[in-house]
Amino acid sequence: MMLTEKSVLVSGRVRLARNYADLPFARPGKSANSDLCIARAVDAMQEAPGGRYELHLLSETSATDQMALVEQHLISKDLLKNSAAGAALIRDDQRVSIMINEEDHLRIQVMVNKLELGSAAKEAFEAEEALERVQGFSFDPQLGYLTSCPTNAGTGLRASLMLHLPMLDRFKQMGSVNQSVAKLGLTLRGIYGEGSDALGSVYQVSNQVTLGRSEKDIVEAVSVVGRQLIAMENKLRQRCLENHALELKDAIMRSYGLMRYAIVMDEKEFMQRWSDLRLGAALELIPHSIEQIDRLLTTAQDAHVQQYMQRQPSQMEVKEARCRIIREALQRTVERPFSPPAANEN
Amino acid sequence: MICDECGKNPAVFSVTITSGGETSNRHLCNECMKKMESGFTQGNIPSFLSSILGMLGAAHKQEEQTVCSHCGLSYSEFERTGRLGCAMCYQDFQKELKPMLQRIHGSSQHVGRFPTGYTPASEESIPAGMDAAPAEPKEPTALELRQKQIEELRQKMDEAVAVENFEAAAHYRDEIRALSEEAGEPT
Repeated sequence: MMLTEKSVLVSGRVRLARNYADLPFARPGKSANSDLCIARAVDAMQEAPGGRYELHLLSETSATDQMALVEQHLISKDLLKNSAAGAALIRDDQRVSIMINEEDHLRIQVMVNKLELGSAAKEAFEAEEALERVQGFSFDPQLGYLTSCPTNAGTGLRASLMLHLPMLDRFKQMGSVNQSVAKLGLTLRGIYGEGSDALGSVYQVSNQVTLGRSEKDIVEAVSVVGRQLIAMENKLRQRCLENHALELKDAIMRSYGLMRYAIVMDEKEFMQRWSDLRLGAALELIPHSIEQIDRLLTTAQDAHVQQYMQRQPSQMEVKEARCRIIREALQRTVERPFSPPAANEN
Repeated sequence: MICDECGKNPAVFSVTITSGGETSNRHLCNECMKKMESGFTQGNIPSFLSSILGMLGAAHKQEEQTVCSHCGLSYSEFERTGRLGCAMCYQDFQKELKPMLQRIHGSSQHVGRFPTGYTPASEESIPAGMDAAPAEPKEPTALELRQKQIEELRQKMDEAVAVENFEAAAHYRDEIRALSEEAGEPT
């Protein structure tokens, strides 16, 4: 049984917000300034470390491709609001992306699939330094890096971890976890679903505070809390396997059956089943890799399904198309001695 | 009681906002409370949060319209959108933004990274409130003040001589002499 960091961690991300000192903050729409921001960033990243950057101008990117970039977390939905001037420089390994003309002139983002926020931050700073060589950023010795929205001022750094926490959810631990996380200047929220309804038990822990704490402190706080949550979740999984193995395996295999054979499924149910499959892959109960299941998290969401259909479909058509996408994705299995759990294991 | 935000649903929450010593009370329905909470945690600024941001700022009612001298953005426009117009807005709206930053971040003093070349130090090495604090103009000493006065009087004396107003020049000369004696400096 594998109870590792990877079995809980979905992804990690560090984001820096920066604005050129000599220009007013970004405004929606194409202008001489928005063009200048793009030209400067392109110029700066030509010889940047770590790989080649490709420029994506939203004005020249199809809606389907824009959506795909959002689902790969390479650009934000907010960037799409500025489709006239928004752009992104994306490194060929897709680890680093630089959004241009979003809320700030530049949003440098580094994604990792391990608990390596420190090295993600280091890479973000390397990109930042390359960008800074072309033109310096708005900075005040007291308020730090100045950003369009004061909630990002200071370091302009947001570090976050996306975690799958089904057991903490099931054992109603999220409330107390949330309270202690808030005391550390961090927030924990479900990233799918609204309000207290965290669909799929997918949570994001990130820093709320960007002013008055150093980059190193922020990254460490998020990492420490992330590590702690992973340990707590794995402990509960272990306990559940020891005491309720049959129920747990049954729940996972039922969801697996539904995902493989259902004809229509709404997004809410999909998220519940997805959560069981994610757990099943982590516990090596189903013949699929964690990465394979994680990919479904984006490809089977409403927005993507609609894109896949490339026209305005009815609700029922979306539900049906979702099931087709899931079935196709689950056709490919990984090499794993696949044996449904025997009854005498308990 | 009806919700202050949407004006439709019955209010079930009472939110107290304290800012700059002033306390205001808002009554919210379940839905608007949820919106406010998610707004707070999402980092982006939906219009609801921006209205809260407005309340978090210092007591800033309609008495006067603060406008950024650089980009022309009005403070009420910022309250509406949650977005500032330029870096100078931080200076021109300082009175309103300071308490807001304090409330959001629990601090109004940057700690951490400085731009390359800004100071020789890099990350982590700048202690808060020391090197990072803005250089405040030093209070001039009494001696410095007197020397400045003398300098000004000398200039006036020279000007008076230049226009052959010797009476005024003599007056300035006497004043300079008196000040110099106090300062222990020969004329």
